[in-house]
Amino acid sequence: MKETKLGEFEEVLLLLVGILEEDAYAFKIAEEFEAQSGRSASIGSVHSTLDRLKEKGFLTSEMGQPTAERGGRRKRIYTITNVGRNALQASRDFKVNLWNQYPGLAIDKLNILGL
Amino acid sequence: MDRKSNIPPKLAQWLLLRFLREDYAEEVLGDLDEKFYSVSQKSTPLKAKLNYWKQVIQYLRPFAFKRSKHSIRTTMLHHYLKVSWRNILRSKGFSFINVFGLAFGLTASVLIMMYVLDEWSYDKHHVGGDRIYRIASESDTDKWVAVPAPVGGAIKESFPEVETAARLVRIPGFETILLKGQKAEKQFFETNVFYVDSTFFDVFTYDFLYGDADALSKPNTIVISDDVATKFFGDANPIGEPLTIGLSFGDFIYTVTGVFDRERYKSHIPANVLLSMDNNDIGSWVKQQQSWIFNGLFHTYVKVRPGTDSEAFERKVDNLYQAEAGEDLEQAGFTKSLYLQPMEDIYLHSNLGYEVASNGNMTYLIIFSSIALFLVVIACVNFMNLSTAKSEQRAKEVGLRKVVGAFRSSLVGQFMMESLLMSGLALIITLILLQLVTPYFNGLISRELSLWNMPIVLVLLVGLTFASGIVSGLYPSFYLSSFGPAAALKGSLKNSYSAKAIRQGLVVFQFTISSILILGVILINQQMQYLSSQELGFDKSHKLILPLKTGESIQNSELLKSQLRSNSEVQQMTVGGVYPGIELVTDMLFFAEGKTSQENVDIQTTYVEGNYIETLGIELLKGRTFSSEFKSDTNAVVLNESAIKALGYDVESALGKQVYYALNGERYAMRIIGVVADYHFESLQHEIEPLALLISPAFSGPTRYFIMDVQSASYTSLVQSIERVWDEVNPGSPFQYSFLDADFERNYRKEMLTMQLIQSFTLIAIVIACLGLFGLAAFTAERKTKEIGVRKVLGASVGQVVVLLSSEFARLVLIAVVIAAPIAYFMMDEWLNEFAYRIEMSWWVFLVAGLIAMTMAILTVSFQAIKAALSNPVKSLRSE
Repeated sequence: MKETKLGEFEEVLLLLVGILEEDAYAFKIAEEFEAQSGRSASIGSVHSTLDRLKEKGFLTSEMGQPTAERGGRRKRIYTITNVGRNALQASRDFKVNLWNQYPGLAIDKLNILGL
Repeated sequence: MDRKSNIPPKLAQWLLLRFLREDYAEEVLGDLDEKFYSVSQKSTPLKAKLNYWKQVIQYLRPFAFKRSKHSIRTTMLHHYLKVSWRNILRSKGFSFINVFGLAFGLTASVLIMMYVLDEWSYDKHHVGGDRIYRIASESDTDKWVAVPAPVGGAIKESFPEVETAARLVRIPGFETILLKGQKAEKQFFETNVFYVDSTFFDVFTYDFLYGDADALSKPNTIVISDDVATKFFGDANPIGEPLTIGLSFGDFIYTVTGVFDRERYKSHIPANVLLSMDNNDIGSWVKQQQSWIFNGLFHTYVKVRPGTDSEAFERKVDNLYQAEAGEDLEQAGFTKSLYLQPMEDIYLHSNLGYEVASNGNMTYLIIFSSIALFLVVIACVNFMNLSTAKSEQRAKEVGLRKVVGAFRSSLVGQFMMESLLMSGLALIITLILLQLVTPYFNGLISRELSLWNMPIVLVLLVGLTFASGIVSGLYPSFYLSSFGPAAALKGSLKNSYSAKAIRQGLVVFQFTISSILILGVILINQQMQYLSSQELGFDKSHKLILPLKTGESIQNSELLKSQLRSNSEVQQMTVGGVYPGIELVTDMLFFAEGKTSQENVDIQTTYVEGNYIETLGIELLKGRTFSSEFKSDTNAVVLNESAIKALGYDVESALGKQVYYALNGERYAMRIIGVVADYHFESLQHEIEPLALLISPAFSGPTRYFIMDVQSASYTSLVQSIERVWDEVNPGSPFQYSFLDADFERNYRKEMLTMQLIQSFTLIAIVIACLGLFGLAAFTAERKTKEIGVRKVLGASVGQVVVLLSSEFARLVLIAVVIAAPIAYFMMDEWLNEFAYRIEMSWWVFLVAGLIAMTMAILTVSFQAIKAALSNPVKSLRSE
């Protein structure tokens, strides 16, 4: 296993993969990211990050079914691995721990991220 | 919505696929399509397209690139290299011929190119060099590159378009003078000494190490080359130091005012020492030179202002001359006109009378350049021929590669790599060879050439090598790879007609060039043989010459004679103003009895002392030679046959007749006391002109040579014993000597050198051509192994098989010889015309050259043919 640290964008994408489940492929993840965060992300940048996460062992992927709007092409569906899940958990625990030490701030901000 | 316009941009897709990893293509294209349609639903198709482009560009990230592509490339490169190397090793002989043939050809032609470029570099450095002209003159008899003293000044005065002018005077025999430092042991003879005007450095550009262009502005100043400076002063700055020049009429002190770098620039004026013309030795003589027609010894250079029309200026110059000198010329019964020589062309194009020094020769440069070109072409042709011939054997390999899925591009890559590898090897060998051979070559031509100083040649060499690699790789690459695998495997392209025709054409071409060169060598040899076997009219062997350069040695010449008389090895001795083989520049206009001074004949004059004719072994036809017993001999003259005829006399009845010359309106008479047979008093390039030998001091020039006819078992010890006597008689003059035959032959050094070079390069050309033929013959024999086997089984003799294999090549060589003959004829006729005494080309020379070419070819081919013919048919037929 190479690097196991999670960057912010990586963490978000990892979460989105978990959320989208069967629909977790690059285009959808990018759409979802834009919808949820309001920031734009190109498919290429999303793909690149997914690729990196896969290399780190946080994700696996397999080819899904072809659809008409894709010109009959298949999509690559990403699935979160146990390692990935653990990494997310660790990251959350770490942050929650920090938040707990932080004097009197609304914890609900974290809910935006769907945790 | 128009469905057609609403599809993702094709170009962007194509671009994406260029760089995107293949295994990502499907998903990415799919994602981008979805994105596209989702955008185009929400907004316009245009926005969608733009977005698509944006997405594609965003995919330009390392993770998405075809990483496998690069590794396949390098893998294939490794593969090509390995296969190429194996192929080279598999046929070692073939590769050797191929690579070394190319390397030899390139080496030889690079050497020639360096020499040619060096010759071109003369006089290209002068500031405003294209505006400098030399004033030359043309008379009834010859062209002469120097003019009388007043011409330069008058031109400068009269024409505003002249920016500056300078004269250089080279006094024959004074180009080598004795230079003395302050210490007694520091005295050396220096060559290439010239007297110049103070404006000399305004016209010509020199690289001054010390001093500047004003160096010669004061009288009695001397500018020396760095070599001379080092000899006298070491590394010290010599400015202001005195140097003494020793002349036959005294010693004169000069002050050093400049030192220039001699090696930096090349010029037709190869000066080692430049002396100011305003001086105490010849200065007053120079100032006395007011005649517009006599003593045309001043090389006069003018630099005109930019934009001057040279033709109009030339006319003006000549008009001025006719106005000033016309009357004198008319009185002398002589015509002479002036013309301009562009200074930059002098070195290569001017070979006229009284050059500053011996110049280059454009004809030779053209010959050399053509040979260099020939060599390159022959070597490259060879390389291509052999490569293509060899590659046809690999049709099966091509077929197999195609069957297992090789793309055409990879086949092209394979063949290209192979021929580039070969040419790269040839390049390396060429560079090594050049490193080894250049010093020897430099010694031969006495130059300091180096490939590394000539980047153009280096670039040309690398360019040529790879160009021939690429061109010879082209044929197999594209021709062989174009065949379908089935055809290639069947081997049905073995007898491709066009390839064979090209190959035959190339063989004819090579042998045409080789035959021309062979013919050239034979004819040059014949001409040289002819020249050296020419009856010279005197005996050039065993003549020892001691130049009398100092006043002391001239005064003591009689003493020297009497001292040497006891030496039995010295048979005859004399003193003369010149001796055969060196330049003779003195002449006088003589006229015969009953003629006016206008009806004159230009006769070369030579000052001699008693015994001159005997010592040199010149044949006396009539009368007697000079003798000290006849006091009246000061008015006597001995003429050669040509002079007698030119004067209108008859050899039989000429004795006792008078000849006259006019000087400053006075008529002087001379009596003919003897007639000598014509002898070559200059070189063999010149026709024998009328000559007068005179004992009168009026005709003595500034030079004297002590000439001895010697006979010895050991010339080294003889010279040593003479040197001892010399040192006793002339303690203040260094001893110098030369042999007449060597001096005489120096006139042909250039021809001899040219001949040597042409011979060597011809040999190389022939060897390369034969190497090529050898390879081709081997290839043919190899391909016909089975045919030969079958023929032998059916009863063919070895001889028949050899003829079968050789006749094809013999036919090609025959064609080549037929083409070469007329080309060589015209080229050599041109060359021979440069000689006053030349051979005529006879038909048998062409036959011999043809036979040589044919023999070489047949020998080369038959080696392979016999090898093939002797092979056991069982072996060749068993193989299937």
